[in-house]
Amino acid sequence: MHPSDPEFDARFVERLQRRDEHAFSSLVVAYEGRIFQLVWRMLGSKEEAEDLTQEVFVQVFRSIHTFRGESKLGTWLYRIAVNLAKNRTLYLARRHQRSQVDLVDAESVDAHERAQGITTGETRRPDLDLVGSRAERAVLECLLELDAEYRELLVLRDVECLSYDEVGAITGLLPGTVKSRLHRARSLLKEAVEARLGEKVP
Amino acid sequence: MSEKDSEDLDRLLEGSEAEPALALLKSALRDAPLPERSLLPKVQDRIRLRTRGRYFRTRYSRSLDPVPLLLIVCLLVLLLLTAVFLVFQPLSKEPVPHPLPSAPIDPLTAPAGTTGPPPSAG
Repeated sequence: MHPSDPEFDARFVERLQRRDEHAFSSLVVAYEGRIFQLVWRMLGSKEEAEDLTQEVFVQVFRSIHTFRGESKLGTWLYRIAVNLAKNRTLYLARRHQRSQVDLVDAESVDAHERAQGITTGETRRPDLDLVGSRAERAVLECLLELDAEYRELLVLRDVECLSYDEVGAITGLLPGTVKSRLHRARSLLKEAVEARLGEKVP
Repeated sequence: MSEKDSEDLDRLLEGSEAEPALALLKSALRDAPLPERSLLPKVQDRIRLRTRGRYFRTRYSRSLDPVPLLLIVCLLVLLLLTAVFLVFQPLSKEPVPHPLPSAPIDPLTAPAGTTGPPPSAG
């Protein structure tokens, strides 16, 4: 595939919309790495990222007929991935809350401790053990505790290095809103990291 | 958002780009892992199941690119035709009889008149 060639892109999309299985397989091979990395950055778990990446392509196959070519195919894929990752984050948070409630009910811990367990939403994330220094791990834990709306902006703009317009096209936000929310996201991340490390970040 | 607000925001964002927390975030997420093996077979399985076998049912439809498969089939057919041609070729033509080459004549033992030019009349 040559995603940079617009004419090729248009013909390729036509094939996808005809549900050409070979074209679809090529699409998966071309984008699976990038989508997996994006999703991993948003969820912090390889297992979840692998499952969600598959779901992204199933969703693409299902809804390719709605693609109108107003954005690049890659941007559209990213949009689906980001939306599914946000949904998965909410689902995981709810599941985690339920399991926390079940756990504390079983152990009859007092209400204060129960509330703390729910609000911090801390989970052990074995994948993060693989990440470099203690400070880097702390930053990632803080990122994963941010609201999904802020997290997606940090990942798309600061890690994936996409332009404001591209981030806007993926998130459905106006460029001005992208900038103001990104600024807020960076401030929140900085505060969270400093609180976690108990010191100013070096 | 006014133009001035936008410029202020741009300046703020530029300033926050140098934040150490952001640098840590970038370095931590820069080398994101890749899937250990291609997810294509699993994606195809999911689609096949959810479309009740309408898509990605046959091995051909699951192959990444049909060209190599077609190429292999064409080559095999070509090889088969060549083999058939070679096997049946001798039967398809009548053998052409070739005259045996005449043996060289020994002038000492050959009967008279069979060697040399015929005697001249004069």
